Amino acid sequence: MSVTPSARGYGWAVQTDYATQKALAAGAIKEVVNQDQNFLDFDPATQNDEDWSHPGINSATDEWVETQNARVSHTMPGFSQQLGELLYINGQYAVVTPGGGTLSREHSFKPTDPTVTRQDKAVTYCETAGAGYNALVRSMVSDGWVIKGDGKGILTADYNLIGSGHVNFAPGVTWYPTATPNVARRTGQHKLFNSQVALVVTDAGTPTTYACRYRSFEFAYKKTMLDDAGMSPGCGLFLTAGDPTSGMIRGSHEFDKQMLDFTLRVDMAVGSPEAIACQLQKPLDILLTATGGIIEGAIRHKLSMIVPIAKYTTTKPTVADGIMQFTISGKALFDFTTNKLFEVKLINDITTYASAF
Amino acid sequence: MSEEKIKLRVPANPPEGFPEYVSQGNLATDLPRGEVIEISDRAFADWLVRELGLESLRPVESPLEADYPADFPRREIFIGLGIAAIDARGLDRDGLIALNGVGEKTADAVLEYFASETDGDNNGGN
Repeated sequence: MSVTPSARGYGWAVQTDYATQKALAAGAIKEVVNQDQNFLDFDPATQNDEDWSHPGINSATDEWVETQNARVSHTMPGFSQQLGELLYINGQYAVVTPGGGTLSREHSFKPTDPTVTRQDKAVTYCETAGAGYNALVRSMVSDGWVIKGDGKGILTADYNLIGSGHVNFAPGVTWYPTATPNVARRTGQHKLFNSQVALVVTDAGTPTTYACRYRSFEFAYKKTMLDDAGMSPGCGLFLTAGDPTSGMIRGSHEFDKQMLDFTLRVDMAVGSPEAIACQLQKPLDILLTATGGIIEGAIRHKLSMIVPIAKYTTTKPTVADGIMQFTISGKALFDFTTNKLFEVKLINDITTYASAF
Repeated sequence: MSEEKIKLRVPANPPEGFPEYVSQGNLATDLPRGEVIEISDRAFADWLVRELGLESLRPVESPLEADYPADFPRREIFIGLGIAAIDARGLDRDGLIALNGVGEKTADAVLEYFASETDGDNNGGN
């Protein structure tokens, strides 16, 4: 029987620290629903002796592995609940019960404070393509995310996971339809759509509510990673413990810089206020919300992207949907008043992401 | 990273929106209202105080602890008895030995300590 893409599956589980893989048990790993068909880029760094001195031999005679490397890129749909897991592994987290709520929670995500730690949470990641392919990677960290919405579709989030290099191609991870599999299925997800988005940009206390003028958004949180620093020769960490010929793996994977860039597309307005804001480099406060269905009472699933200080870097007239629009690019600046670069708030029915996956 | 646990008190009546749980990387804690939590990591504890206004419960030195220098012989006995240093200074050897927990050896050490203090004062003068 042929194996088709419908056999593919992905899963992850938060580790207690960078080094320790999540132990396999029934439901210990949570399925991640992705829209793409990507799999692990497994790329060990090898060297050979091609340029070394061998009289009369003009080819390599030996090759060896120096470091193990693995990374993967995915795009997940804007599920209110699953989206929080991606945000959770990317930074600082707090949870509170909203006023009047019992089932609902408001989750807050900000960039990790580098004065506290530069090591964000790591996950144990697994993927399968049917019986022929099953991989488990321990200690994968995310270098950010790109959350976006366009047209009539569902919101999406692009993300990368970068591993320590420790990959197990015979992990024994079990998936549905195995009874009580290691990877718990993901059900009951609430979708957030671009049609639920509201954009408000405030200039010196004067808000502009875009309403029907709003078209699309993209917020890209990026962390530069200390890729090489985590491959510390002194740690003596190898793919096979105690075997230095099996290739080094990382003992940590910290971030260096944190940045948030954004792109907004809006219909043109008389006087081109966006172009003038760019020209004058006005500090702007951006609030973008996507409000979904009701959880309880008047409390709804809601995603809020909050940028206290942003400046436009470019504004360019563009044609889309047959009309003239402005495509605005910009950058968030750290706000000393609120002590943050940005904040993402997510209201949903997850009790806490600390134990959600 | 400090091995000693740092005690912090969570506000009993925090402002609306005060979190129930926070994490920074792999550092995390619940924030039960009005209770004392223990944090192992100094930087995380400092952040909790700085950002969320938790009260740092550092050990408070009692007035008597300040009264007795760290090298005072068996200072814990005198602090425990609640005797001010100025009163201890007024006691002779028998008076010191009469105190609960003070033996001949301690009494002699205390008298020697006071004498050395006096010598030091005299030497410091013109």
